[in-house]
Amino acid sequence: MRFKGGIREKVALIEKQEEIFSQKGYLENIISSMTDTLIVVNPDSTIRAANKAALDLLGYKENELIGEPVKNIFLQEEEKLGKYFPGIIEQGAAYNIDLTLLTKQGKAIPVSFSGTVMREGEKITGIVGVARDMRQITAMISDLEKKKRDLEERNKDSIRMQKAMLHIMEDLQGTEDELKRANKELQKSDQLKSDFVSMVSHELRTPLTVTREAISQVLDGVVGEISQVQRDFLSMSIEGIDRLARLIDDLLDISKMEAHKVGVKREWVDVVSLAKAVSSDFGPAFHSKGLEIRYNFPMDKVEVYEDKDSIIQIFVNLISNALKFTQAGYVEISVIDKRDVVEYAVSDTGIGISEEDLPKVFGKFEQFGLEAGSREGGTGLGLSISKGIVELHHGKIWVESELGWGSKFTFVFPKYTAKKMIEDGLEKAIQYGEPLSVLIFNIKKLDTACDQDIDKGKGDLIINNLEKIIRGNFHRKEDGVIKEGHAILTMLPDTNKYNAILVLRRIYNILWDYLEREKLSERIDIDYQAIVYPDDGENEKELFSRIESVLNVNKDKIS
Amino acid sequence: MPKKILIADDSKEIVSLIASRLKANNYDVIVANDALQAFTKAIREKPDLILLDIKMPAGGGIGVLENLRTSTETSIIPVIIITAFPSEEILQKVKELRVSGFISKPFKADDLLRKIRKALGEVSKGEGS
Repeated sequence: MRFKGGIREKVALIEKQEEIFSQKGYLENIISSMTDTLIVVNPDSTIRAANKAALDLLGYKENELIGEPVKNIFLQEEEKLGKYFPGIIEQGAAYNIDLTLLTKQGKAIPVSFSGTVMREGEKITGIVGVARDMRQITAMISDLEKKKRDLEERNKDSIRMQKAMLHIMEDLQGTEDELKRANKELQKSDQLKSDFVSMVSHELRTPLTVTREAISQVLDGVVGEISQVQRDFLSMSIEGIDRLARLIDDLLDISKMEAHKVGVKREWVDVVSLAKAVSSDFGPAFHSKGLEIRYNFPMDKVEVYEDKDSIIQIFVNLISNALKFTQAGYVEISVIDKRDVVEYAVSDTGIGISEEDLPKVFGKFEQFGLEAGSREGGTGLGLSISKGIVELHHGKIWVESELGWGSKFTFVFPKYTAKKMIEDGLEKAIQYGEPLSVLIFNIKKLDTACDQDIDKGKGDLIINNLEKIIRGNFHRKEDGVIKEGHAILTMLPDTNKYNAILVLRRIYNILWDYLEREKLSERIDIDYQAIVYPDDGENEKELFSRIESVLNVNKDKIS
Repeated sequence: MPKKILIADDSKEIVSLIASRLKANNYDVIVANDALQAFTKAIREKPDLILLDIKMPAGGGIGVLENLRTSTETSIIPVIIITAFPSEEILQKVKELRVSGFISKPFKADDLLRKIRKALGEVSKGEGS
């Protein structure tokens, strides 16, 4: 063929051809590097072309597939295929049809087949289709579905657990509410009981007073002479009334304790002399029964910061019991300082308590060993009240006894220290979010010559007096004043720093006045400082270290 | 001249019994059954001592006491409080209002008479507090 035209046209042609080849190569590259299988089908349903991916997947060589009916590579029967392909032709395209390819070995490969129609003008020249290997995807799908089922199971489990927890929490909440209600009821009923008992005891006292005074006046001859028999009868009546009065007092004590309403008022007291004083009050009674009082006081003096009345009440109870149940021998009273606690005891050579009665001893209205209605009968509440008092002070009380031998009642009170006082106060302050002030008055003796004049005994007296003065200035139950070595600490709950300093200065002036009056102002000096929670320390450790450093400043100068 | 004692208590029986006892011990007696009576009789009769029940209705014993202490004619009259039960508050109030003492119900006649004598400054030798 002879080209018309010159070299330029020839070159242009060649260039065009090269371009075409290059494009073709480019396209062929694409088709052969596709990972999805590409198949071209003739209008007569024979395979016109298949890409490398298709051949690899199906395991055929190119010449084995070209020209073969396309149904050979599909598992599905001709009829089914016949459904799809006309559809493709009609619609022009079809997407994601689930079909199954058949390899040369006969292996079935699930694919997702998408095909479009090829046209040249109006004429359909074939179908080009891409079959995506669904195995991995199917595997992934079934894996995912399994995981989904597992998750659903676990979800169900977790939902079940959540429900169970919710139920438990509801129950707990219900229980907590019940407890709160019960507690409120108890408090209310405690309050009611205590109010009721207070009311009743008050109401009982008036007719009691009237009866007693009326009988007493007849007995005393105020309204005329009486016979001996009348005197005897009326004396019995008065004893009954006195007993009734004691019973009411005891009941009131118990009701207050059970309503947790008893406050504790502390002061420095020498419990040895206290014990001596109480027991000597019983002197005449002991004497008339021919009993001896013995004392066991290893130390002549034991000073504690305690509620004097409580200790007296317990001693009175125990000593009167001992007196009641002892016919011969002695009653021994002891007070022993045991460093952190003080141990008090009352023992007797009386009739003792049987083993089976021992556990009942501190119960209410228990009275054994005495005939009913005997003259020496008490209210049966004494020991129960003593136990209540002891427990209020965080102490312990117990009895050792043997029938025929005697009994020993022992009670211990833990020693109250400045440290304990501040610990308790701080605990409450933190709990209620209130400030707490500790005022420290350091009593300093000016050193050198003056020291010799002030001997230890007098020094103690001065500090005790100063402490008394300070205490006299504080009336709230919760305020505490306690001496610690040569310092006096005052604890004021719910008092902020500003007020603490005002109080500090006021008290200092009062103390100074006292020192001037006693002509001690030349020889004694007082340092004062307020340590406040939370300003000076946000917790126990910080606060105590501040307090200790203030106290220690004093220590070096004294010795 | 016998000393005059005002007895103020809302229980008529207690008043008449105490009156009987006091008369038997050579005291003159004025009686009152409520707070208002107590105060007005105190102002009018100016007794040497007042026995006052702390729990009277209509103002109560404390009210009377406060009034007695603020009015000049009666502020120096010694007062002994009669109470069914001396609680902390009562003890505190008693200290603040300068009461001469208190006696709790039921009382023993000896105690009452002793306290009256002490408040009137009649304490004889050998008697303690």
